[in-house]
Amino acid sequence: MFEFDQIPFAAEFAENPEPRCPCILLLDTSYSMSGQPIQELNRGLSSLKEELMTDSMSVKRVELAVVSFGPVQATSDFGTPDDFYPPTLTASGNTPMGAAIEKAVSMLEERKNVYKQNGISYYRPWIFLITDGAPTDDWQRAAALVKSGEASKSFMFFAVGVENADMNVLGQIATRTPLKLKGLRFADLFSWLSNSLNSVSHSTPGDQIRLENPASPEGWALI
Amino acid sequence: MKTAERIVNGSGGQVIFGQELGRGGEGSVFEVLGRSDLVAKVYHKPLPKDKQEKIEAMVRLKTERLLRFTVWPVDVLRGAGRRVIGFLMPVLKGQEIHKLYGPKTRLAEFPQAGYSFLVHTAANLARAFAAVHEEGHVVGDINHSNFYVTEQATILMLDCDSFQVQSGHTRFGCDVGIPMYMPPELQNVTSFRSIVRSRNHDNFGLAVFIFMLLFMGRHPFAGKYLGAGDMPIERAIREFRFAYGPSAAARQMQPPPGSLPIQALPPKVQHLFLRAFSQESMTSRPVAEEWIDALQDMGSSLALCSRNPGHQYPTECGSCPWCAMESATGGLLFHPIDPVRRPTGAGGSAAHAARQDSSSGFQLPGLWAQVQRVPAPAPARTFPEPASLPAQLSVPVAAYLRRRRWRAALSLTSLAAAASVWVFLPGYWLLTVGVLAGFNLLLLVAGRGRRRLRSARAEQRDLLRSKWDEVCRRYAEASASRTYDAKLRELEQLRREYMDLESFKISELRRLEARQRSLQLQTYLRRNRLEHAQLDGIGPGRRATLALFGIETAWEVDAARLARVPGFGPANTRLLLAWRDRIERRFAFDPSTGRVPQAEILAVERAVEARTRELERRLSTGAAELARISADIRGRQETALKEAGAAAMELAQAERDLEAL
Repeated sequence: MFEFDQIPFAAEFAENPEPRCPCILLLDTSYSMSGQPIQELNRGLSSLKEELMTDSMSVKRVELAVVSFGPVQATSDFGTPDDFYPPTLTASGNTPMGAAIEKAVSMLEERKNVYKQNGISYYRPWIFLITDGAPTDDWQRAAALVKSGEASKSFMFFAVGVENADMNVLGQIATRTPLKLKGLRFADLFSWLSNSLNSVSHSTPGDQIRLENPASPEGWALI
Repeated sequence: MKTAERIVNGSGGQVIFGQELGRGGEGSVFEVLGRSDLVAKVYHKPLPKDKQEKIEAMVRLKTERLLRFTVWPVDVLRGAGRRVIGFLMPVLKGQEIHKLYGPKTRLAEFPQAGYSFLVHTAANLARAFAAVHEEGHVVGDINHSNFYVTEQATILMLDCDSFQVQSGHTRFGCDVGIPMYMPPELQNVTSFRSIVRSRNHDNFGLAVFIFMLLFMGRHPFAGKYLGAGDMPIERAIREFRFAYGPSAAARQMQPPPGSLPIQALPPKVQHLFLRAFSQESMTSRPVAEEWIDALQDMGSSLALCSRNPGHQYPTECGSCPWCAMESATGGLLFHPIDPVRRPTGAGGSAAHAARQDSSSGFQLPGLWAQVQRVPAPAPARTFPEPASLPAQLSVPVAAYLRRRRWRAALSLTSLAAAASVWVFLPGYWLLTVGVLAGFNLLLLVAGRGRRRLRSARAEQRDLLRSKWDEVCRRYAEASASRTYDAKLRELEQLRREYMDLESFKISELRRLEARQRSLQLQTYLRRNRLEHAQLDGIGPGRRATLALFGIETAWEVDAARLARVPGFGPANTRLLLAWRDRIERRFAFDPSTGRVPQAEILAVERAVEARTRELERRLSTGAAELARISADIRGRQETALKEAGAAAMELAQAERDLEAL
């Protein structure tokens, strides 16, 4: 009755079979982010972990991954908050946003596959893009991926522009209205993100979650 | 609470709040001054009339029995205009139920809980539902945060104000519900406001939670979906895709890999799950009393794994399913114990009336006794040189020698005859010559026979000698084999490592603690900035230079770094190092914030447990291997020994023959 072979990923899902809410942070680390912006971003990542850790459901259900660009690289692979070690990002290079989005989409597909193989239920994944510039590569294909992903409800794509970000291009990539960060309020942004993920993790996979409006007067964003 | 409002209880007595204990979407919970057994829930927004009435009704309907299983409202709280603004309820004890059924959080929050604890909790959950149902109410909003489990495996339900409450002919509804715990018939509901909740609805949720408690946190409808696309839990519930049921395959579902097979449970419990989750019986799901009965039976007949006292399991399994699952997945379901301190024999049974299993358990003492019973190969013996052994002549040689004695006698006789002819009959010299010739001929013939025999024997002797040598070589080879010693040494080393696993684990955990301390020290030193330091003799200019070299806080102050700063002399260096020392001496480790993250502790435990299993496997196979090696060597020695005896005898005889010839 109990003859099974060792299964990859099995340990993490045997110890924690809760449904998962995967969230990819797509973070711009181009040269223009140097100085205070990248410092605030790094601080925000640490506080995101801390805040998610305080919620007993998020700590089991939310999975974070970080893809930074450029160059495009998966800085942290999917892990629950207790297993997520916020990277210290440094700013350098250009803004290959298109390639980064494609990478994120393929990482999500792979992760969903792992969930399916292991009989783990999941919420609609999040892709959360933060950039302060404009893509320096071809982003048309990425935009098409985002459109079809949103249409088929495979994921939700949020874009946040910092300072001089090209909000026009972001608007062409994302189907949801891109948000403009007020000043460098990364702390508020990540606090909102963790609250939103917390409410997702207390719902049922497939539920519609009403998120707090980040563009309210007290919020961290402008539209 | 910052309010000018005077708050009174049902009998008009003033209630004064202490600290806010928690804040939810609906309201906040406060301490009540002077009442350590009670807390106050106060809503954020003014309550509509019907909700106020619901709370008043609930306070009237409180019973002893309900209060054993729930934090039922015991008194109303009224604000201005006698409006109900909240209520008083007993203090909540325990932890959210999901922290118990999820193995990862269970290991941290309920470290002592074995499977029997989970079965008891499941039975108590059913008792709580039975109490609520018998009073005529329905839980309604069944979810992972609404059931608390105490260290005694008892249940307390909270958020009772969301229950559907029956007060005479008046029914106060339940407006909420989390779809993943709701039955199929409520899956398409957009608002619960107009829905009358039934016990049968509750019985679905009860079965889901019992399932999660018994199946290590797995949801009954979260399986491996074999069709295309996604299969969210709600859809699976709506479509009756119970992943562990007999019709699962037909509905393209499989239990997740590495989960408990449902056949591991007692038939009665299996059957209740099937009834709770299948379409055929959706109007008559098992009621709480049926669960109490089945779970009580199950809890009282668990077998105890000899490997881990937390591994209790239904006797139906035959062998421990948790061991099988842990070794297949590499995950931890229960805290492993020091393998050396595992209970041995029937004397070490746990607190529960559990039966001891002897089939699956690994016991080092028993195995080691077995190892020690394996006989070591005998040390090599030296054999005496066969030539030195007493031996009888072989038959042909003895016969030949006998014939030769006859011939000798004959030739002596003929010689004597020739001599007497010569002396007494001198004229017959020709006869003498003839006799001598005959004698010589006889000698010639006899000499040729001896040479033939001798060379034949010599040839045989050489053959026998090489056979002897060969047997001796085989014996020496078998005796010189080091495979036995090597295997034994390997086993001894594995045994030592096995016995040291616990101290290895402790030292790893200490290392993690030490790292926490140094991380905390680092943070502390970093908070002490050089720019704010009282350091006479190191002015703003020098401090700016130091900052240029990355020395801004006490953390960065060290001799090596300071040496790289140009123009920074030994006196100033001493001053700064002394400053850092002073700060460091003031540092006190705060164990509350410096706790080692649970994930890191678990990683150590998981690794040690994996190594434990690996060592057990290698020790078990190694012991068998050792016995095989020993039998092989001893067999070879014995065969060689037997052959050597025979070969020595034959060789000795050949040597004796040759000597005689």
